[in-house]
Amino acid sequence: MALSGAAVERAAKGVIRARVVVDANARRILEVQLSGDFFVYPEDAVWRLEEALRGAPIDQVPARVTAALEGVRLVGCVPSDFIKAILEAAKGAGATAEIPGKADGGEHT
Amino acid sequence: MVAVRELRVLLFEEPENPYMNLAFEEALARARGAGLVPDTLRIWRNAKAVVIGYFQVASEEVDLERAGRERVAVARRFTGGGAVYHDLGNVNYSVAVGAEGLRDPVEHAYFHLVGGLVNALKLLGLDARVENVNDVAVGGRKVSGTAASFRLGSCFVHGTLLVDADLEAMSRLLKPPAEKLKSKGVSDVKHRVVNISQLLGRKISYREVVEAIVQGFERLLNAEAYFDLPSREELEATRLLYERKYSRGEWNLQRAPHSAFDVESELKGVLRA
Repeated sequence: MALSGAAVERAAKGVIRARVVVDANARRILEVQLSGDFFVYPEDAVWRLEEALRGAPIDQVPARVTAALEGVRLVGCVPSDFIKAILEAAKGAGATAEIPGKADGGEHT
Repeated sequence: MVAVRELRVLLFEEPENPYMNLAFEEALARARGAGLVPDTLRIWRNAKAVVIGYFQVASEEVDLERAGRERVAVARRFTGGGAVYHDLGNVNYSVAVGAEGLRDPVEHAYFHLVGGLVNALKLLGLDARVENVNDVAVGGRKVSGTAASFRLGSCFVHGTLLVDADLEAMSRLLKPPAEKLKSKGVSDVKHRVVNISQLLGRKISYREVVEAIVQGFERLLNAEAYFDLPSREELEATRLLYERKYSRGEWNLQRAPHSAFDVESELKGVLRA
């Protein structure tokens, strides 16, 4: 049985919504959908990020997000905003991993 | 100052068909990217619509039941950013310029090109400034929101301008997340935005707004405006985009990427420079 959760994270500009489905043991991400009023260039990096998270163990979420957003221009948000939204949503689905602080990485225009 | 170049201006609009209006936006960005048209400013309106950003899910942003009841269309644009309410009291502008030679297209769009609208508001007597990345505000209240894209070969930016829009309708139809309003210290979307007619204390005609926007961009780009009609290629690309993407529920209501719509190969044929 899969479990799902949702979370909203506020970035410097805009909000990031994450909907996450985790496996029955709440250890692995099955699906992620990211939505909101953020700006990411190139735009389709959002779908590549979701693909990169499919099947990811929860504790690998920060590394996978950081890698998937390498070279992607974020305007008004940073990679840790996405990480926080995804981990909060996963937590809502019963999974837990340490949520990092906002200090890490990302261009912030 | 001597004008060193020309600025093409389009007043082409389909107010009763927001899907077509938004298909034209993508067609314009593509046509400029393909070098088929020169740098272009478009000014246009929708009669009644909520327009959502590329990454948004319609049901998360819009009271869809109410929109249906009030016959308000929900339409997606190809740029990111948030949901906005459009009626004839909201004037939209779009600018498509060449991206070649730009050191930083993001900076160019959000910090330079938006200056055309700031100029327009100053011409109308308003002390406007860019705030919070993509808002244009007067006295701390937002009158315009901006979004940009660079994926179609051009540097494209478009924005709204609240002239005399129905802010009650905006408030009824949009569902801003509690987190966002809390951070702005206001209880309702209508309290952080304002119509420029209210700021000026008088009615302002569409013609006056158009003239101010055109002059604002003429000043910014040191260019002389001329009015034009859409090109055959722009209209043909618009028709294709409308049929295959912008008129479809999968595009407007869900959150599907451009690649989910089978239109690229035919568009390439239409937009071959």
